[in-house]
Amino acid sequence: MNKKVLLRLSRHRSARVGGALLLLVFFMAAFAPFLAPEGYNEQDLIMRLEGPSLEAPLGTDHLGRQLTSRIIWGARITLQIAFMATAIGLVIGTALGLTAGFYGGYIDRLIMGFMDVLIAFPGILLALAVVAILGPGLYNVMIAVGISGIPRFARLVRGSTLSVREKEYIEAGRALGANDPRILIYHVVPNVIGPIIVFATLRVGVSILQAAGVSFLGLGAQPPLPDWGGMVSQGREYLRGSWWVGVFPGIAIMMTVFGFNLIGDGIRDALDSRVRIAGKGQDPK
Amino acid sequence: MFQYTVQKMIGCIPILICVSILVFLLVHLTPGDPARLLAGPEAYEEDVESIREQLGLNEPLHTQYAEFITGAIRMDFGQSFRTNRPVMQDIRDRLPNTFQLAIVAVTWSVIFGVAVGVYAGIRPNSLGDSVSMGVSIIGVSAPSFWVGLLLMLLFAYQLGWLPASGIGDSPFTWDGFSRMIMPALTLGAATAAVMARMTRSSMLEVLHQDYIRTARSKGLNERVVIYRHALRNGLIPVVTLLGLQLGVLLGGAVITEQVFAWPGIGTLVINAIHARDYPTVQACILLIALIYVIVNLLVDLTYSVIDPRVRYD
Repeated sequence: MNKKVLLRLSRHRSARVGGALLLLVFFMAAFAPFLAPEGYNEQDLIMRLEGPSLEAPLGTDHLGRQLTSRIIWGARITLQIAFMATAIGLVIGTALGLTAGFYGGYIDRLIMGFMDVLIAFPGILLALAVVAILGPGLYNVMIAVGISGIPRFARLVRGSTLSVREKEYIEAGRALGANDPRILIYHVVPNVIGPIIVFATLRVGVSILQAAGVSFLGLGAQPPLPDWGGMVSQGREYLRGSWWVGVFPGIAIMMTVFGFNLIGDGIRDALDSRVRIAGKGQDPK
Repeated sequence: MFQYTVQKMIGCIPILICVSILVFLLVHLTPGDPARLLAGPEAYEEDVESIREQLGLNEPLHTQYAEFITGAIRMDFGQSFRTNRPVMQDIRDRLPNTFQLAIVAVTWSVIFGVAVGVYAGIRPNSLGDSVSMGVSIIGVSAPSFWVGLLLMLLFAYQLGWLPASGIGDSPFTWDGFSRMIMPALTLGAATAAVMARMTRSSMLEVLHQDYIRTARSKGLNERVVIYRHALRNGLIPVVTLLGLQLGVLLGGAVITEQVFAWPGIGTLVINAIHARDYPTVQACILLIALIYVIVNLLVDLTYSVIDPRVRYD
């Protein structure tokens, strides 16, 4: 992203809100040992299912663990899963999309045919199928959610590559004797990166939701890890009398995804020169 | 049109074959021996061997796939490891419940999403636009299972207006209908939010077109301009999105059904995954993918109905 895009992004109102939310989550994740009142698995059975109070601002769960601590520690797990899963989809999907779009022919048909097969599964179902193979667990969720992102990145990158590969600067690169990997890395990638960045940012949000969904179904990170999706799942059992156990981790998930969605929208607008971004407000389009 | 439909249908066949191979490999890629799993950890090796024989697991992989696919075509996926009933019977019992939920969720989310999108699209940057788009982006960001729990907390536990979970005998009785309200709202919430956002941006795009200016300059009523001229064209990308959203909805049903203990295909597949009941997992995933592919084909074919510029022959 060049300076101009960053400047436009810094002026984008909703991107600012999204940025502030994400800063908070990153801060929580980075400084969890200092911010959290106690460890994520420190139990105090006398304090079990206590409502929000000065002593426990977000209440305690069925084992008397402070929800404030668990949510702060949980930011680490959520961001870890979201970024790793998105990175898996991004790296493999981009490589496949670039190859398919750049070489065309049977390579394109083969790769995109396989992507069509993967895309025939609804995202969360593909993730569940992969977890069914690998078994539940933190790292398996990352892989499962990451795999469900691969065909989506591949389709996007292929489309952009197809339009870029016919451009004159690619021909010029070839005339200068550049080989295919060099052309792909130095000429194609920089010109298709815009939509990839936007999609990846929005995809982080989707990854968080999918991973939380898998955890909610009991197939994600296993207790006592403070996974937000798993915490909502535990909260379901105590919903009637102790609503805070399930409600607060859900708010944490929503605010984080909300932050990524706002930033994603902001980057999209900042990269699109047709969109007017003023200090206050912006064009509807 | 007929030729296009046939071409598209033929195009789906290789995808479905590959999907079936992938689903078949589910069992064979899984660490552990399904026969041992079925026999139990204490079983003698001879018993495990006889189960392996019975399930055809000693056969070469391609023979097993051929048996699997011929069974799938006849809708015979074998016995469930968990319930000991034919898998298809379990699916037949539950599939109508999922369809019932999905249809209600799609209906309300499309009506509500398009209405809000049109409202926001014709009043860009107004207070109503900002509020509805703000709510819709929150709707996209909230995990569906959490939305479900909030609804349950409010309407079932606090107000006591609706039953918390389960399914009624018939959706046409108050008991059946009231049990469907919260799951359908939960399942359709994200789709409604996405629909509203897409309809809004599509309407904004269309309202700047020349033919809208022409329609207005002819002195047509604004209502006619919006509903007859703008909306019809503005809905084309929305229909594409609907196709994609149906996949999200089918996946979402897995989670929503779990929240509300709704006995559909979603709860069946989750229980099967937990119990490592592979025949059921295979059958459910294959069936959902099949439904997804068919729905997308139908969406593809709908274009010509709403957009006469699309010609297939």
